[in-house]
Amino acid sequence: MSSPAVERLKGLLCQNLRVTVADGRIFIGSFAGTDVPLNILLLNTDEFRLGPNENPDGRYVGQVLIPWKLVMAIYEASHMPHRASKKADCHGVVVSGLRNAT
Amino acid sequence: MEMLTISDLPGGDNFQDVTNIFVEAAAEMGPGDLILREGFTLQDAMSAFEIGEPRLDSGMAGDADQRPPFDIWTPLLPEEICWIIDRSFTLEMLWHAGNTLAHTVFTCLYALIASELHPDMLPYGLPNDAQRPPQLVPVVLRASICGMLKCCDLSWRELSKGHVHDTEDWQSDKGDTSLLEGMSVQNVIVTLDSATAWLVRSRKVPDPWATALIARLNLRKALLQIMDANIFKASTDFLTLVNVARNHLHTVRTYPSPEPAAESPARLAFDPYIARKLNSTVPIRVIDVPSVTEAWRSIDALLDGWEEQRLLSLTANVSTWELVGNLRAWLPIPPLRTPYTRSSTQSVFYDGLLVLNKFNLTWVIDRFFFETLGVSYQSVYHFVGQNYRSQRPPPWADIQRGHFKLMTEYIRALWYNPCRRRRFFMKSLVDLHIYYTRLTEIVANLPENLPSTNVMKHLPACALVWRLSVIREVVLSGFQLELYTSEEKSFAYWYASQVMDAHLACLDAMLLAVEPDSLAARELRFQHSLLSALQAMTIPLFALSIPLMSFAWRQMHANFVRRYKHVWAGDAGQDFLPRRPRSTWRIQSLCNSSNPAPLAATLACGRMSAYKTLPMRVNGCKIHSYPAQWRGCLRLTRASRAVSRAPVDPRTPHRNRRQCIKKRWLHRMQHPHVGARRNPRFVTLVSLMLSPQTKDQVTDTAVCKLREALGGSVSLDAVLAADPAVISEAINKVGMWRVKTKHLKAAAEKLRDDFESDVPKTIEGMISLPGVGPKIGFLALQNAWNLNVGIGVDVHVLRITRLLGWHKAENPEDARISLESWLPAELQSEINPLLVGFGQTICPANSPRCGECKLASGLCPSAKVPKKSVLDCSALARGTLNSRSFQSSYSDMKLKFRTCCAALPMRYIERDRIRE
Repeated sequence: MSSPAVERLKGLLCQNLRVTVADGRIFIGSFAGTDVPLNILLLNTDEFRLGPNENPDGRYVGQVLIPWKLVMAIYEASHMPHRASKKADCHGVVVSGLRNAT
Repeated sequence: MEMLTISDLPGGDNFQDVTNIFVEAAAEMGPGDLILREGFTLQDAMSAFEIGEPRLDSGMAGDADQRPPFDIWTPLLPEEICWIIDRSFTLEMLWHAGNTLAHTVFTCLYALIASELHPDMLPYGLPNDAQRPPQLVPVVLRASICGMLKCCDLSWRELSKGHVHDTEDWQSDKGDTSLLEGMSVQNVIVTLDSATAWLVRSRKVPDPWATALIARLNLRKALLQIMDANIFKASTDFLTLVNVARNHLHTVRTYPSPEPAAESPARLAFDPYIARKLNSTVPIRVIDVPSVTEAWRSIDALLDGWEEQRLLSLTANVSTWELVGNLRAWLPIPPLRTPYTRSSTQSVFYDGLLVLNKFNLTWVIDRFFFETLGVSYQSVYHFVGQNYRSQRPPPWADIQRGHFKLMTEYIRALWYNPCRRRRFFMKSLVDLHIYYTRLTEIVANLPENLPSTNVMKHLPACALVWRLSVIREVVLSGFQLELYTSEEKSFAYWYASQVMDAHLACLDAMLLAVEPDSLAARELRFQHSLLSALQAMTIPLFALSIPLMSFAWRQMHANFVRRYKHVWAGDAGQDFLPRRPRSTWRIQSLCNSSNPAPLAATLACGRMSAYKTLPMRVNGCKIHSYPAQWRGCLRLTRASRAVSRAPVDPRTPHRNRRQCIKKRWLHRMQHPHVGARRNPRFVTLVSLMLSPQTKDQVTDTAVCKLREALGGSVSLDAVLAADPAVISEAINKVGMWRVKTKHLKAAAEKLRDDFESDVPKTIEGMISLPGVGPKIGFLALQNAWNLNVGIGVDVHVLRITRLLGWHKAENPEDARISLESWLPAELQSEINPLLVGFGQTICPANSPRCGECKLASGLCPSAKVPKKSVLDCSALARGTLNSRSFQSSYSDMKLKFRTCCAALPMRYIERDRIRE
């Protein structure tokens, strides 16, 4: 059994995250996983830019990996107060020591 | 302030910061731990695009976001508009050259908003500047941009037909951006026309810019019309359009646009990082935009391409199509090879239904026979129908269908990119082989006594020359594509020369039958001179590259198998080739042997099924180097021999079999009564035993006298019964008659005792007879039993082959082993009578008549005449190369080749004139 902090992080899996990065872009996508250096994997991601001439609907970029060094902040969509039902079919798994093993 | 920014973020403000959850969890995870959602593996994670990695992140812009905003309505100077239009031409050509739209055409920001850029949308209150009329952008620039997008759209449609390959020749990715697909060509032309009209009418733009802009608009209009035109429906109009476009291009070139100032707003119209905003997964690459002269040159090339297409569309000669396609691939700097031109040329030839918009499948096969042999398909069909001897009808339907598919794809493949072209050729060899076998089967069912001057006898040769030229292209294109390592080059040159040799032999045979004045004969003669020159170039190159050759045969073997796999094209070949498994086995066994020469010899022929047996003793004996141009030597020797009769020809021991046995003795040999077959074999042996150290005429007379002395028949019993004195009396004109008499008697006894009164059937048995050595043994086996187990090497064969530099053997036995190691089996029986006759007539030991000899000019290293500028290839091959004489010969070859090449376009033009 892993520590409470890791459990909390696993609770975020399958949630929509909003990640702001250093060059001003914003990615919104479904959280798929991370590793110890905190490279963040997002699925079905849209990319947004802020500015008067930019497309307000964003640009679909699909599956992306955002290195921690670019991440400014991470937000979780909290407009659904109860997300227990969604969590049920989306158990997080921790693959221990995979890098050492391979 | 902070709150404001967050509430403006996409996704709304129902988000809470969870950054800390990540930081805390990371602190508590073990090394190498991963957190992944269920069903998601590390493997899946690999395919993610990494943000911030320039090679993957198409949204990364670097400093591009700092650029000042672009306002589409900013009024511009006429010369700035000119510059933007020129640059859009350049970008369009860059797309044609194989870049993505997102990196080229769409970096012009006006291209993305062409639909919004309407004069009616012109905002009020723009500053009234006489130098910058506000209508310039929405009228002139818009028309030009629309024209460019529509041209791209038409090109895109052509390119996506499948004649060229997406992501290989061109990039189809539009990044979800419009190329004005919904706007009709007519509509765009009207827009262009009204822009021209506005420039003329309003007089708001001073010259020279008005002229420059009008020329650019007109050029665009002409290009659009050409792309939209049907080359077959209005051929003359098409040519007019091309000429109009050329005129406009000329004007455009004389009015170049100046580079705008660094702070000019025109520069803002181009954003090389635009792809980050488009739906494109291709990472951003900033392309250095070349100067506009490059674009004009590309447009010139496009126009050349269209002009050539028009000429070709009127050309119903398939071989001209082939020639032009090849020429385009052969030239060192290939012109007109934009993917668009290559694709549309293919569309002109075959649109998926008809060839050249009007011909069906019968026409294609008809042209094929007409252009190769000078006869129509109908006459071939009728001739075969009347003379066919098999119960089943000839497989014409299969042949027609196969031919149509093969020919249309083959011609189209000439316009593929070079790698595709080579790959297609290699694959097509299997089909060509099937085709060749089918035609061979048809001819096999025709009457046997068809003379070689009858065209119908050469039906399979049509497929064979096609096939050989494809093999040649495969080998030579390997050089063009720089596929070969330096060790492989030598062999490839040599192989190419051998393929051409076979091709030339085939052409020689066909020229005998084809009507000398026909188009087909001209084509054959042309091919002949081209191939001769090409071959004359490959052989010196082979010789020059010999030092590069590796002697690590094991590795060479692996290379052979990989490079020439098309020659024994896999399993597909086995069903239709009865001899295939055997020949495959043969290649494999050759490959496993430690010497490349026999393998090379086999590959050289290109059709392995012709070789049935392994050459003797590949392993275990010393194999001499493979002589250069031996086929050429043999061919010329044959030609020289055909001119005059040699003593060996009429009624002599060796030729007896050819001349008499074939007609008279053969059926006796096959006589059911064993005794009846024995006698001819015995006579053959006797006459061979008498022949050493004796002229053939004398031997002949001696055999006749012996027959009379023995009571009318030279039989085993008669010889046994005869008194040695009687025999001596009969044969006393031959050399060493005393010894020979003794040997004859002894051999006859041995035959009676050990061989059941018949001539032995093995070489060991033969040699065991007194007075019989390997030479007589092999010849006797050949002539008496029709067994080709070896070459009979006598003085002539030994001497002439040494003269030709084929080996350095001192004694006949070594020479035999050396010759057998590389000479194809079916030629081994021919070599003795051929060279003996040659030695008797043209090349006697004491006084060779090099002046009359066809081999003296280049092929024979021992010739005693001044060599006439033709390269001594065998001397080269042996490494005794005098660099100066080589240089002069080589430049001579080059000249020859150049003359041939120069003849190419001439011929092509000439033909078209004939048609018109």
